[in-house]
Amino acid sequence: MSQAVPTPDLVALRRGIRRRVLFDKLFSLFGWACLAVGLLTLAALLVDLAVDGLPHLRWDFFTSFPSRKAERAGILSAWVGTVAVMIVTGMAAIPLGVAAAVYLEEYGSRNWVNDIIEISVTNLAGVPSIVFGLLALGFFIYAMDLGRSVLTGGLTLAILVLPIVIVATREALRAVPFGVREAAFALGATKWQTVWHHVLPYSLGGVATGVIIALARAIGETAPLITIGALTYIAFLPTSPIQSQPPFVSFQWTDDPFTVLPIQMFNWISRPGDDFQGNAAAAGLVLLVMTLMMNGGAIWLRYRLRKRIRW
Amino acid sequence: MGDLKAEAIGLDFHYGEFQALHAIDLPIHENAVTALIGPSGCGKSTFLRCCNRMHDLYDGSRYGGEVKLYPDGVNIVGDDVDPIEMRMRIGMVFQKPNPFPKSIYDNVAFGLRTRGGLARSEIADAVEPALKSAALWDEVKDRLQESAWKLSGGQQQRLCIARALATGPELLLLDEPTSALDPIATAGIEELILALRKRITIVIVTHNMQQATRISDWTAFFYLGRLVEFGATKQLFVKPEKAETEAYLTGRFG
Ligand SMILES: Nc1ncnc2c1ncn2[C@@H]1O[C@H](COP(=O)(O)OP(=O)(O)O)[C@@H](O)[C@H]1O
Ligand SMILES: [Mg+2]
Repeated sequence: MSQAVPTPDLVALRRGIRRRVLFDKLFSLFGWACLAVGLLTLAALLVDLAVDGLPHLRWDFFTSFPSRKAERAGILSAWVGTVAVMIVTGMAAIPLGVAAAVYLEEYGSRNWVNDIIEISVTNLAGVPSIVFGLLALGFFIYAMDLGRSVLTGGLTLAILVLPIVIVATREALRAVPFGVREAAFALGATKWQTVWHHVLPYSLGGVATGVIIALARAIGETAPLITIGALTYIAFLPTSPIQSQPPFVSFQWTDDPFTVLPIQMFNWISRPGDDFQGNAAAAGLVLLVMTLMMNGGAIWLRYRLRKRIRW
Repeated sequence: MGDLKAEAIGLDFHYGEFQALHAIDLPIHENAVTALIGPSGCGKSTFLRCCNRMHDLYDGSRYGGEVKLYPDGVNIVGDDVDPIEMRMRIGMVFQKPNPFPKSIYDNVAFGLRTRGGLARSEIADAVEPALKSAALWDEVKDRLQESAWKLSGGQQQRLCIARALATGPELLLLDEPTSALDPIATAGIEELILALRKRITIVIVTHNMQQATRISDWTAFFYLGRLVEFGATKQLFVKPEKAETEAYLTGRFG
């Protein structure tokens, strides 16, 4: 066998290929570097929080109220407050947001009223959160007299994340193949029957993901809650929803004052001296883990629902 | 060959500004198969979807003229006629099999459930005969609770036919039901149509002319949104009256 001798044309061709492949490699290196900057920043932040915070993460930290003494201060009222506010937020934002999305996507016909609603929803998602705080202060506290309560806090965050729920739900509804809708309509189903029996179950994974991302956003919000005057120091819990006396359930907790984790953190960070910085870092870790768990939950739920798409 | 089950009289249809059907006059004979043929884009699907008011789901659709459904003679496309009632009385099967991502049983039962007021047992009693009429029963009787999406393409399409038959429709519309299927599954569907035609009136869109000759009693040739020719299938294929029909049948366009 003789050695193949490349013609000049082939030599030029190969040089060109090498040059372009080199560019590919350079670009992937560059992209990798960009990614690394982001990841390293996040990692540095986490390590920093963990170094400061982990030593404080003892059991008492979760079961103690805030205190003047840093060693004894805990996040009991803050995490309970966060959970309570999230419950209100979820109960308000999920049905409202999903219903609004179903209307826009499945019922609303193309006309200028619906166009304006659509544009407004998209724009609302970009409004700074403190503006929602001002709205809530004027509407829930002054106009409706709901007080600086869990209910007010939860509703404030609900309107804040409503656009996220709506947009995510619409996206999920749009991903349902049109054949499924037409199949149902062709059998004489009404819009409601089609949406309820086919479109919503089919898009449940996407809707749930959107809802959880919205709640994960709400859980870290501080500005609007400070605007409505959520307290920064609370040494008691909201009323228990379960009572020993009839009627055994109570909604008094929605009327109680509250604080939440990010506010507790903010309170500790803004103290002079180093004593409380560790507590703040520990609270930050808890908040971060809660957010990551919610996002993890979203991924898991989506995976589960996709796997058994049959119901 | 019997009475008319339906009849289009001067049917026009507009997608917004675009007129897709022009004055269609087309008789649909009872308990027979009517095939709609013609080049792609000539309005076959548009016509079929007028017959169960599917166009009402989309903005900008406008009907003109009439499609009468006998024996009551209701004008299917009439403004005062409820599209949901028409869809309950007329079944449709689509080009791409579109079973619901639910169990086989639930797929067949859905049409009856939408009606409401039926007992569980009444629904259960209707599922088996529907699957039998669609020649699917023997293949699925042991796995009615399995997902319909696990069936093969041909089985899915027969399931869609069973789903449409379960509610006892007066008219069955099939829009190229075999174009997404392999030849064996296609033969299965064709056999099924031949078995059904003595019991139910069928209108089928097909781009396959051999298929039209194999399974239909009547054929309508559409071209550019108009009905060019209608006649008994044998007649139309052997001795078309119009030059356009002959050109299409001999493969000179389309
Ligand atoms: N949703 C729609 N909007 C506007 N025009 C449409 C729409 N659907 C179909 N058409 C047009 O109507 C004509 C007939 O289409 P169709 O009935 O789907 O043809 P066929 O089924 O014979 O291939 C075509 O010109 C097509 O482009
Ligand atoms: Mg078509």
